[in-house]
Amino acid sequence: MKLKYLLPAVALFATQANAEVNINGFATIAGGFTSDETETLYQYGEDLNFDNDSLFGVQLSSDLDEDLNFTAQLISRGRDEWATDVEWAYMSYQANENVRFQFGKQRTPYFMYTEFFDVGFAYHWIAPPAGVYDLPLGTVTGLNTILSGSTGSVEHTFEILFGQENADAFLDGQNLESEIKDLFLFSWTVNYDWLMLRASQTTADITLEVTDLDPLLAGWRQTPFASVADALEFTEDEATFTEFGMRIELGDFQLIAEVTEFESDDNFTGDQESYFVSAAYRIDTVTLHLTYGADETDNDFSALAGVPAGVDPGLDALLAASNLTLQSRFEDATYTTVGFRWDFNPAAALKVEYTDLTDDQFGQDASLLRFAVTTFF
Amino acid sequence: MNKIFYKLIFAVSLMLAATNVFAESVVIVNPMNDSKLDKETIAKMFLGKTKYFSNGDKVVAISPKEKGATKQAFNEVVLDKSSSQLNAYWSKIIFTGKGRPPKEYDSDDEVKQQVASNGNVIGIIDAKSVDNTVKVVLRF
Repeated sequence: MKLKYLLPAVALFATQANAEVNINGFATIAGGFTSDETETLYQYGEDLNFDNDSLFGVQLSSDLDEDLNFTAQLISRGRDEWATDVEWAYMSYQANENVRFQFGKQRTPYFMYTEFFDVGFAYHWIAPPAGVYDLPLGTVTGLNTILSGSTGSVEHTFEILFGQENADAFLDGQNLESEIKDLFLFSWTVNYDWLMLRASQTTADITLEVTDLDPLLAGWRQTPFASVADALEFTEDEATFTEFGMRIELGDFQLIAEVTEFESDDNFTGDQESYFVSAAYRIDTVTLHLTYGADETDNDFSALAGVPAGVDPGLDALLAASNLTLQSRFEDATYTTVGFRWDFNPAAALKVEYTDLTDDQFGQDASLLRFAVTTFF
Repeated sequence: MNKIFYKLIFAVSLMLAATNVFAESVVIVNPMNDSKLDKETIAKMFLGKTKYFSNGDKVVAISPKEKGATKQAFNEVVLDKSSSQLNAYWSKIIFTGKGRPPKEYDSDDEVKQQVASNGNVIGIIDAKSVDNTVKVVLRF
């Protein structure tokens, strides 16, 4: 959703002349480079890059009455040449202490950090681990019902979100069009003093328009094996996101762990499993942290099994290109990130971190140094 | 050497205790508010986790400015968090639209006026500013 859609939102604010509008914002300016010209990691290369993780966001929110609120959030990202997108635009209604509704465009809370992924001030990393959080999709438009309550000192929160959206997606460093239909998300969060546990599952029919793939798909459709094109393309495929997360907070010590899985019906992307464990220790205004994670993607070649090789050079070329596409999605990597966050001001922090990735699939090991200043107001 | 050391510690703790006495702050509610309030519940109200008083009324938590001694003491003693920890906590809540930090007022008098005129409001002020228009529910 681009800026033109903001006008109705602004109009809504304008008609509420009596309502107080709260303006808040956040910004992260981050730079990074890999240690060698042959290495790339998280879209960084050997040359210093300030675009990938730099962003700023502005949020307007207004209480229309005691229980009714409108919130809109705009984000400009360096990686999108600082184009502004509407990330949130919704009405919320707090029906009572236990029931809250959010209706409109909102971040899809697939995993623990997805809702506030861009708010660097809220966590110790420069960005949450990419292996888990490099999701192509961010937002959905629909109705989120949030139920919360406590039994003794244990607090439970359930989120039930239905939605759909035609939106921009981001895959492997490229912007593309996407369509999400029939999204259903269910999450359960348990909070007990020092412990938080979260489990969630999301299903949706997803279309990703990967234009790079079009020549290959068109090629297959001119052969008797048009079904191969259907098996490769990501069109109205049912996808499932599953997550288990945990956070332990004991005084100045924090331990965070998350396991995620992404599965989808036959298409070129493959099924991904990821996890990370992160420990952080706070000494006054400095937080030291260490993260270890692993990402594994498997792909299925069965769609190509029925195509005879060596019969026709055209078919062979299509087979070779398809094999390459499927193979390129394979992933078997582990990484370690070590870094610190220094809160040099109550509302601003400096972060420096070093990531070392071992690629057991293609041998493309890489190390990356990143630094960032993050703030909010 | 040791004796001097202990004397020094004793003197310093006396001084700290003394400053504490002089800088005592309080949590106040409207005199009509008969809700049960302990330190843990009050902390949850100021963190936006508890949204209703035990009498069923909605909670509106307010405070003097972040940089003031009262607010600093409240953060340390009642919430047990530093300013940057609280900001990290609130940045997550604000930008997911789930809530807002307590509204800040310029002076104790303004906080007191809000509490005295509205049964939903819970505030913090310096103990010296207390009068009979408000009810003290916690000293810190």
